[in-house]
Amino acid sequence: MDKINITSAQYINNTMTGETACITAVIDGVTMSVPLDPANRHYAEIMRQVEAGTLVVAEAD
Amino acid sequence: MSKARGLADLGNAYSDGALSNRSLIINGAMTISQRGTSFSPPSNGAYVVDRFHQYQGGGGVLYYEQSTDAPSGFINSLKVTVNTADSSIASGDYYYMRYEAEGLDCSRLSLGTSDAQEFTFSFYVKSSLTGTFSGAFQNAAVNRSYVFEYTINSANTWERKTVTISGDTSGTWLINNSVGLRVAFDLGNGSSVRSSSGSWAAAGNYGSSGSVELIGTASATWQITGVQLEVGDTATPFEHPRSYGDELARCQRYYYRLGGSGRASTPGASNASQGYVDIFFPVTMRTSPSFSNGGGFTVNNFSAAGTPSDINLNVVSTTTAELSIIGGVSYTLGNSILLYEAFTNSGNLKFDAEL
Repeated sequence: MDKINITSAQYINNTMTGETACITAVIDGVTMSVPLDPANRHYAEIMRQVEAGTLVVAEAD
Repeated sequence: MSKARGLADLGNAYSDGALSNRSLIINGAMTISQRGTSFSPPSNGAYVVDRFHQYQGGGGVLYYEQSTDAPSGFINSLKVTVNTADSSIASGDYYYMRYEAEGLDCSRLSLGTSDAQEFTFSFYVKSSLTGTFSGAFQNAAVNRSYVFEYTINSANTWERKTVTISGDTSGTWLINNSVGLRVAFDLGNGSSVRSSSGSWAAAGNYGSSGSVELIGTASATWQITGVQLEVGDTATPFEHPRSYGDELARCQRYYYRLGGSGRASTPGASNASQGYVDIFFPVTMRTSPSFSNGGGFTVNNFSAAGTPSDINLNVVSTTTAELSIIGGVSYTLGNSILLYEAFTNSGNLKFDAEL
């Protein structure tokens, strides 16, 4: 009953190493950079919505 | 309170394990509010004053504010005002305010074990409505809950309420850096999450059946401060933090906002295409935080200045973040840059490691 509203998500690469750095997502209308950390509540919610099939995280540009 | 009663309470607090640092609640006096002072309305799930967040899903709208109306000895409260009433709450609708304590701070409660401790929850509350209100304690998975009730006797009058309950000996209660214990104040939830009060249940309840639903009355208000949760059966006087700075630091474990009130500035360097600045958090955060920015920032390469087109998180840990600065000026490999608030003093960098 307390789902966070996520309208878009995309992986972002570290601009120096080229490795995946974070996910840029629009969360409750705010653009946020979300680290790939399961203890981060935004990342956990992104993964929960991905598993539920309600959100797709786009590949990095 | 008589001196004899005060000494007895002190003895109880000592027996229960602590004469200081008794409360599991951070910012219980509602003095820290890094996100602002007025939320009209906050988005569903958003934090308001530090460490307290709220949810609202239905036809009604609740406004939140850090109020300066507070009982004697306090300077702030968290005030909720019904902007749009919901007089026909559907089963799945929800309106509640919640605090989440980190598991690392909850080990003293031994919840989910045979040694689970009795604990006492106390707070000052004031409302334009009277009657029996409710709330609930919950575990992280919200599959264990205990619904409690409290009565507001007089409208628009500060009253201190106390709830003492036995700790839950069942269920899974986390003692790591995730949610250890939730406390939800029911402001008008649907029937699907209401139950009777006074016992632990294997359910995710948020309030009691028949209790007052604030959201049902237009312009109704509800305020709270002095929130304290301590081991034992005694509600000791509210333990104010040692200082404002101490309480701010405790809040910054979960949320850190840089800028917005001055000329926040941070130096960095660049490669051939963009700049980089490092942010050092004032305290170790609970987990790697999410990052967002707002307002205006200026990047300066010491020969020109401009507004970045984007500021992204490049690397982050619980202690530092490296931000990449896109656009605004031309970048040269190895040169220094400076990122600072635009003259509007509105720029801010926000790091969120809330539970």
